[in-house]
Amino acid sequence: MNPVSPSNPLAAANDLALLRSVAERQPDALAELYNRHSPTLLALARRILDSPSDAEEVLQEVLLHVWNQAERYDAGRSSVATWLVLITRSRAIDRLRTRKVVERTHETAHQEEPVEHTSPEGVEAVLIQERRERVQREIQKLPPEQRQVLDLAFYEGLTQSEIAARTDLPLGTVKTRTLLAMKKLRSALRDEIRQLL
Amino acid sequence: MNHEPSSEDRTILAALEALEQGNPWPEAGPGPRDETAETFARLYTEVLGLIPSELDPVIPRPEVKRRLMARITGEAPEGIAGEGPAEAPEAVGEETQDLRDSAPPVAPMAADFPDTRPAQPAAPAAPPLAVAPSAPLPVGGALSHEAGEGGEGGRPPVPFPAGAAAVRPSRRWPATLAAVLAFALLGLSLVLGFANLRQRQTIAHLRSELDDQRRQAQEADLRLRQAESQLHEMRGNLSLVAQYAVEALPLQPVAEQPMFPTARGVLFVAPDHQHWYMSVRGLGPAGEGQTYQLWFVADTATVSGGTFTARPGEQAELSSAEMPAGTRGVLVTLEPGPGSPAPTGPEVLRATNVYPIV
Repeated sequence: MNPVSPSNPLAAANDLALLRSVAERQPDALAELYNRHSPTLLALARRILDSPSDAEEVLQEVLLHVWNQAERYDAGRSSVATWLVLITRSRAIDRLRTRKVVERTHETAHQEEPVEHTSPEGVEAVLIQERRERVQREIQKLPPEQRQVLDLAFYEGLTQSEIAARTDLPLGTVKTRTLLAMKKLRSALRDEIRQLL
Repeated sequence: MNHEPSSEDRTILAALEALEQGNPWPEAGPGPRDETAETFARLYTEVLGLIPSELDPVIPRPEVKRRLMARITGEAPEGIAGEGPAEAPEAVGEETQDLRDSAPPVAPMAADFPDTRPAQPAAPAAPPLAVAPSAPLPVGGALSHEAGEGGEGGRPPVPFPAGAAAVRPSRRWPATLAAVLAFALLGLSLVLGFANLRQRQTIAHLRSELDDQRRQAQEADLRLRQAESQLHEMRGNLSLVAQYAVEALPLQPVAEQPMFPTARGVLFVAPDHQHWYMSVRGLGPAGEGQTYQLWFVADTATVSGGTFTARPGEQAELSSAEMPAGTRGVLVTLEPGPGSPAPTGPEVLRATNVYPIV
């Protein structure tokens, strides 16, 4: 991680301030939001779509949506980071459902691996990285059966009933596992959530 | 689950259901709350938002950001923070244009994230983790709780810059119109080409028929002329033989062993002793390289009256307007080739007597 770059004062601004600037049609603010969150958003889109090119398109759609709809962000509902994640997940799931009737295209090796790495910079980026490491540890601590229902619900967009059918488990068991997983994460990630809020 | 779902359980399940369906956040159920329903909803929304943090980050390719910034600014992505050297303005401009043309429309906001706020007002106690809107918003309240008050449709979306928004309609409808016109012209060309081909085929057929008709007309005209000539000749011969005081010279074989014993003929001589007409039957073909030749035996010489051919069963005819003076006899010989200046071949027929027809 790099310290705050004097050439980029936006790197020190928090997400909410950046989004306000985006609402004022400042492209640099959107670029900073992109630098800060695109690695996570792209990882999420790739995890759902299993296609680098589709994931990049979703990422662009999400940021364009932010550019056009920043005024509609409601800080009382979620943090900016969560807002971005939920938009990305929704767009990626929509594309995944649309794409299921189409044969997946083969991706080139060039597209499989990023050719250039530009690490996000700034205090917020450091916080994001620390949060990621903590979340990774806590999610890894979840029992496999709880992780499974969480993955199916979040990354594949399955309903609780669909998860029950997929895993051949009673619906009540699926719900119980989901509730336990969510409560454990909430309890374990209280500090991270507080940072977001 | 064996126990009654708690408010927290219902909140979690409602959050997941809203995540699945994109519906607004359902009202949290009544019951004892260690935290407000709003806080629960907010907490679990943030939990959902943290889940992808477990993934290893993936740095996008620089092109993704360049394209994005080009799309929102409508110009080459130079001067964007954190970016490397920009592409040539022309190339980026073209790429931006392509992206504008292929960009999918932005979907409505409704399904972006669940409404984490319950419909009923929050509990009097301040939520411990709620966001305190202490800092004034520099955009004059642009990030206010408008969604909670008027829903997603309460505020119209902010339009693109004029440079980015004005390009799409001005490029698409002419292309569509051009494509429609091109298809229309192509279809019209095909129809006209097909009609032209059919007309050419019809014209060629009519020309062929016309040529056939002309040929048949020429043949009919030739036959008519031949018939007229024959009719004229027959009339002449009839006129000759029907004249008063015409002379008839019977022709018959005279040799002891004649070549054609049944052959007979008559030579009619007009009273002027110039016009004459001969008719012969019963002669066979003359043979290869030979011809029949008529001779007038006069006082001073034997003069040829012409050659003729004969076919089995047909009548051979010969006529002329000239006859040597002092003709005393007529004979027919078989001569080589086109004829002889004097009789050389065997005598086939001879006229020995003259019978005047009054």
